[in-house]
Amino acid sequence: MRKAFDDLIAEMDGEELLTTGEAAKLLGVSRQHIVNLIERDELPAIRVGTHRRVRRGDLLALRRGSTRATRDQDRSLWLGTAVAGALVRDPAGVRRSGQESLATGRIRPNRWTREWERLLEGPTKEIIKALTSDTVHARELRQNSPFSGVLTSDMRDKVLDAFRAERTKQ
Amino acid sequence: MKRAELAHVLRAASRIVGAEMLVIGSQAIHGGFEEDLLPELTMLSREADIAFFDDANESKSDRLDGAIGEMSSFDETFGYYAQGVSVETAILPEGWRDRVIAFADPAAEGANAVCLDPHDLVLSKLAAHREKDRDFARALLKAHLVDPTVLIERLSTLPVTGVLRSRIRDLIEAATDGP
Repeated sequence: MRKAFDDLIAEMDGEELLTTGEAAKLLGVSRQHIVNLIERDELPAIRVGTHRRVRRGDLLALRRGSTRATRDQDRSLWLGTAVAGALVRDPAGVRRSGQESLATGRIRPNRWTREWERLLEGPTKEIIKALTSDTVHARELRQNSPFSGVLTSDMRDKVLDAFRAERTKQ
Repeated sequence: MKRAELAHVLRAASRIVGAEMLVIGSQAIHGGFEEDLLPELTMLSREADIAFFDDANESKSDRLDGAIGEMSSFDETFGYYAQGVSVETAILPEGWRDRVIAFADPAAEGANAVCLDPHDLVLSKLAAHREKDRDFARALLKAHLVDPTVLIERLSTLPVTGVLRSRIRDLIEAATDGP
């Protein structure tokens, strides 16, 4: 699979269009995963009739690190996971906190706050996914998180200290 | 993030860390232009990405984040925050350090902060190449706030693959040709 991908890079023709199946094979993932990436705007696609096609150049960008997490994104993931911990202990309370944050207007509305409004009305497991998934989409959601009142200062400091200690070890 | 909010973050950050700061994310656009010139789309971000030139073990970045970062009481109170990042977070063309612009705003109360040059900022966004980054670049091109000729010239020194370089060039040309 790696050789096939290296051949893809070597040909340097960024405009060839791949089917979702071909893209999946080259990345070593399921076709459904490719479809999910497209639907979350993490992989651009164009429609050819009723089918979706992916440009080789976009696949290259995806593979080569436009989705790789930076240190600050990893830190954000740890904080999101801590909020998820609070959520599973008190789903109603954490939801309420998020909804109240959004209602104050302190957070400027954008597409991500609108998505949080929708998530906060839906199943808890979808909120957990948004807080703990390491995808480009979830990272954007966390950067616009309405949960800044959920963790106490002490809890937040502990999470950041643990994150720092883990990174230092690595 | 509006200009006044960035000034507030930099003022607070200066008191916490006290070292020269580099504004490296989309809010760096405030270093180059007055707010009333900027498309709204370029000011949507809630966080100010701040890096430090001399921060090998990222202790300054951690200190900043601990004090006024994501989910801090600062974030809770004001609805925006600082994000301590590494200088290496952004992919930038050669010579970018010589082109940074001091953030000169009385509201920052003398905070020692510089912003990426707008053209270098746009190229770093295009190197990341997410949809929001492409939208950011297009908005500035269509508002004629960045010069496509300068972008194309510096693009040759941007450390990206040949395929991505071509896609960036295509985007710049398309954004310039359109109405």
